[in-house]
Amino acid sequence: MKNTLHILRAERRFSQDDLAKLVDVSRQTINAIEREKYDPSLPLALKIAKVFQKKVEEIFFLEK
Amino acid sequence: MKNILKNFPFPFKTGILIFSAVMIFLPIILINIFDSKNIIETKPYLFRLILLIPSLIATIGFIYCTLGYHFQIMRGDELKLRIHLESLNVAFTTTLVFLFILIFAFVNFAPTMLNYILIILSVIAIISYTLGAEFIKEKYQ
Repeated sequence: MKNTLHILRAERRFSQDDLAKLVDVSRQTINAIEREKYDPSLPLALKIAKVFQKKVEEIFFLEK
Repeated sequence: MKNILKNFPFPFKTGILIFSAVMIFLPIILINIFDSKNIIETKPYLFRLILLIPSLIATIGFIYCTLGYHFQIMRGDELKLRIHLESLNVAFTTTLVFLFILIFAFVNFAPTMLNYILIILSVIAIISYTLGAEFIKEKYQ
């Protein structure tokens, strides 16, 4: 699964650690999601979407 | 019951783990300090107590720590939970495979070693969990 997390994070000037604290996970989890090594659970994807005030499908999407 | 366990903080886990590790070896130390042959012949009930009580305390301690660390991971970060669950999967499969191999080998070639099969399997489970966790961590880095 692809995602635009690192772009959104850069736009908001959040560090991985800042975002991790906002969604209550470890920095390693955010790093693994950004590098597309790990697909987040639905609750975590919803939390991330809420932080960036976007829909989940705008951040996470399947490869074309 | 499940909710109580989920919300219980399981304090002093590391201390209890070290204490349990000491307790499991305490009978060996105690038997060496005292005259073990004399105790076995004159006071067998005392010998049984020396073996039983520290082992029981160690068992309770290990169960407490296992539950504590498990629920700590369950409450915590989801990537760590994933790594934990995948490591448990590796450990379980490896232990099961080794169980059959050891039973075959011991029954045919060294029947007395069957007495130690649980200890050997425990060590295999711990090692495979630890190694599995390291390999799985690399997958997500």
